Amino acid sequence: MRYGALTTTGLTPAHLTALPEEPILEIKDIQGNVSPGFNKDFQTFISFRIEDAAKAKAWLVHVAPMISSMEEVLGFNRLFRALRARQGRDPAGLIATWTNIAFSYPGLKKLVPAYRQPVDMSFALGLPARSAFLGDPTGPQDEGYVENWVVGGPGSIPDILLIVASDDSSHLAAVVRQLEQSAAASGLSVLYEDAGVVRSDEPGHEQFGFDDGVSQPGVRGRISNTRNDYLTDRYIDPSDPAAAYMSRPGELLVWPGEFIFGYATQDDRDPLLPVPPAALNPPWYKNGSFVVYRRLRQDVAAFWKFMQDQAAQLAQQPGFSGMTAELLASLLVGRWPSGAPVMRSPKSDNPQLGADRLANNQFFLGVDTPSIAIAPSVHYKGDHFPMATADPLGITCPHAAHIRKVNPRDQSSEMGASGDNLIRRIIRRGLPFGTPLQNPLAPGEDPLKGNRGLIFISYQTSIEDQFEFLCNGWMNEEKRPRTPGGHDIFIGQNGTPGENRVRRCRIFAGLGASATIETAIQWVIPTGGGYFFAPSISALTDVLAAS
Amino acid sequence: MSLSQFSPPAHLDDFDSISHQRDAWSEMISASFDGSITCIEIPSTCGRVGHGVGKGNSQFYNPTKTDVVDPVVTVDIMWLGFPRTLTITYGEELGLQKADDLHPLTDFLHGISTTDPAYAQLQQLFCRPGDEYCEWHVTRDPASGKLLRVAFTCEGPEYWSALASGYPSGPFYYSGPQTTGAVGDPNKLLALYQQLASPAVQMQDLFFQEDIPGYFLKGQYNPYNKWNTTDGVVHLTHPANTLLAEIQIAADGTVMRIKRTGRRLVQEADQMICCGAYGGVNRSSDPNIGNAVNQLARLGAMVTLNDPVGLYMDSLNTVGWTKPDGKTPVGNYWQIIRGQPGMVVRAVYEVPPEEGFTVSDILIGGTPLQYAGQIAREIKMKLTGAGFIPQQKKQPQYVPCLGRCYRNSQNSSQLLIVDIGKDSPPGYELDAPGINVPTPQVQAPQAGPPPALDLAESAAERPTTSKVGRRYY
Repeated sequence: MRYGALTTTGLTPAHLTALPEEPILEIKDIQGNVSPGFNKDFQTFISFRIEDAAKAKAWLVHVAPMISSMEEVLGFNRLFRALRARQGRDPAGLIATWTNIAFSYPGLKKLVPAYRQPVDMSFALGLPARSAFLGDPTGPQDEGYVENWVVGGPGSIPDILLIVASDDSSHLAAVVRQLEQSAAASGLSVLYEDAGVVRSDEPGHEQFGFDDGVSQPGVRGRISNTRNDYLTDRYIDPSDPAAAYMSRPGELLVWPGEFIFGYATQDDRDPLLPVPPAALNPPWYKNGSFVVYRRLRQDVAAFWKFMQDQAAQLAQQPGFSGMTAELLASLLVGRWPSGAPVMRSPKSDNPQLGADRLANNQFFLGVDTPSIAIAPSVHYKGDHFPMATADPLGITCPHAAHIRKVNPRDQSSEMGASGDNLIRRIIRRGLPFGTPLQNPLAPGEDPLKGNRGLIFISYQTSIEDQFEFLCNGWMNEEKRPRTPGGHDIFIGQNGTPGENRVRRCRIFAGLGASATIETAIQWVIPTGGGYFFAPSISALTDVLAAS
Repeated sequence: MSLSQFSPPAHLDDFDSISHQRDAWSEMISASFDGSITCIEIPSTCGRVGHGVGKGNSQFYNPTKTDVVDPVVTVDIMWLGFPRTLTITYGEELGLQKADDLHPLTDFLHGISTTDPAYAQLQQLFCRPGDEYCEWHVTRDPASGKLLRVAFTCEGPEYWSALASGYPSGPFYYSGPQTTGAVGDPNKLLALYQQLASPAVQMQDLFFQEDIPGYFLKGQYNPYNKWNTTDGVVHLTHPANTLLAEIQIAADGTVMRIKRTGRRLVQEADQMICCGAYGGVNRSSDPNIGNAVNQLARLGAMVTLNDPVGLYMDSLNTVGWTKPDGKTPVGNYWQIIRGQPGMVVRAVYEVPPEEGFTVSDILIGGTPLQYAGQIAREIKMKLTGAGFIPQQKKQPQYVPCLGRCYRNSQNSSQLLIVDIGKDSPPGYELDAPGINVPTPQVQAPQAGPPPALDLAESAAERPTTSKVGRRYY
């Protein structure tokens, strides 16, 4: 169900004379997958190596007009929504195929030999050099060991990552073919092609079965000089103080500089305060963004077998009788498969809550969550689901739950107060690869032999302080961001020497009853990826493609 | 059941051979708990202004005087060893460099005036700049400049001062009862210094050789002696880094604060520390400690610090640290010298000579390890809180805000707590840190009418808290 969008800003808090103005984004220049995001059912990720820089530049000149801008993707999305609102269903025949491009540090240096000073040390080092730091396996025989990756390992670092996305799989295939042909003619070799496809059985769900991408940062910024023409639609009634901080209930607004170079960034204390962007070096980083690509194979059978076995064991323990595989998995995610947060639905899934975008992200963690007023123009039926109550000990939603590990929301962490949480946010644009495993609890013969998973894609302006921090600092650390918790059992990795990659955490049945969940089973295995820079369209044409 | 006695930090056994010393330590910790409780109940008793929670209403408790109700939940409250204040003042790169510098003690003594008769002498004493309870001393190869060895400590000065004289001496630490007859053991103190710092340590090095008027007396333990500052590290030196101050901040965290208009409960970490005017707002530790403790108190829990009371290094995260080849994970070069795994109070990071490379040659995810601060950044510091829900929950007593935060116009990360009623400092703007955590209205406590803050009282010059506590550093 789609809602109309709000067009006015919120109340001015006491310490400000006016709400700070959000910058106007250069929507013709910013690549569209950063924001609003392609959001297509079919996406192909092609990793290229540049063999001849001059020929590659010629190819870039040829490809540049096809690189989809924020303006184009926004325009399509708005058209799609308008038609859908009138017709009551997805408009037939309205399709788009988008292309975005990104370059690794070696790739940029091939094209711009003088380029020496990267903004981000992690980007310069590249993913293979940072793999161990992310907790990836380091045993030479491990599938997840960087040298065994299918793409992006030390010998096969791509220079270019091309993302082609479409509503229509055959049109996508045709465009991909054309691009690969023209690339080959320009001396670009294909290192790998990753085919992402939204699950047809459970659209929007990842391979373990959970709705993915429920919570994204609300990116601040305007897309034109028209009053209140925001990139991220605002749904909250201006009379509610939350309107200054959130776009949807629970969707905290973040200054765009955290995701796009050249714009105000987030202060780590005051969420309303735009911090003027630092001078860019090189200047052509403006309107660009870093892309993290991680090809994560998911052992779906192993995941659900563990949940089933562990739940059966737990059910014997006081306080945990009635534990099921689905409940256990949902506690470790922090959401049920439908996307409903366990904070608001502790005992069972609630698909209506999961589907309600104005309710499924509306919860604080350490304090009682109040109702938030939605603007009348949205015509929202109201949030009548049970409100979340304060859970500082992680009894309702374990501290180790994935969504709690990567976003402490209102809670302080070892880094300080709640404002710091906003400088860690990332925009996620990934989608599954491989057909889903049928009957994961009792799988038969698997035609893919386990080769399914997630093509993880994130956008941020600091790989080190955002993406890598979430992995090394929070997901993979047993005692961060809060205790009593544990490792992110769902998707984290424990690379601590001497601990044999065992992940462990505590879950509570109540104040007096807790249990330790522990496993060394790796059901998320990194099998490829890279760190890339998605330049602005003008940087692409004026710098990277220029001779 | 209550705790019979407070144990020394990390269950260190130095006191075991010293007559009455364990009893003295317990007496001191217990008195500090009681003093902190009284302070939050009746603030005038500790030189503060404003209202407290009222006698008998503290939700912070002394575990040797309180029968607990099971279950008791323990919570590790974490922060990282590298001081945030340095990063926000200097930026990451310069902050790492400056973290190794020594400072004159006067740089960090809040409120001290250059006309203070002791000023010149205090200026000659050194301390380290890390105010998050993690301090270190670096040994570099004089020829190559490479990092050879870093010694880390999180031991409070009180412990070492108590070793010297039974109870800590000087103005910064303890002024409570001393009834056990403990007089410490300077020989033990010397032996430990010789073991940890250098065999060359001599007894007179460890004691003040002259009075520092208003501060120290000749013959008292000198926490800023050269073996603990210029020539090494044995315990914490920054004035904010005291164990007793940590007890106070945990107690402060249990106080539920309301904005003075609208009786709105403050529930966010930065907002609490600005409003309550306790601790260092620019640190990572204090806002997190206050918030973690306050959340438990809001549930109605009685909250304390777990025994053994202390600040600890939990562990060092070396995921992704490699030998110079960029591939082979480093060995375990983190030697626990004092304490135990999970409760470390002294550790040394040094590569064994047979490895053939130095600390500087280690790569952290491919980046060279150039500064001790990069190690400190991966040390998890902690204190452990404990709490239980009493059979009869206490009626919450809401205390109006004492302060508000301003931010440096030139550096938005730098906040300053200013008493309500005082003028905005030049170069600062009013700020409201923290996301919009709800501030629900609360009912007046049944004890009496809502307490009103007397603005005249708060605007008056506060008694200096430079000698105790962690405020404003």
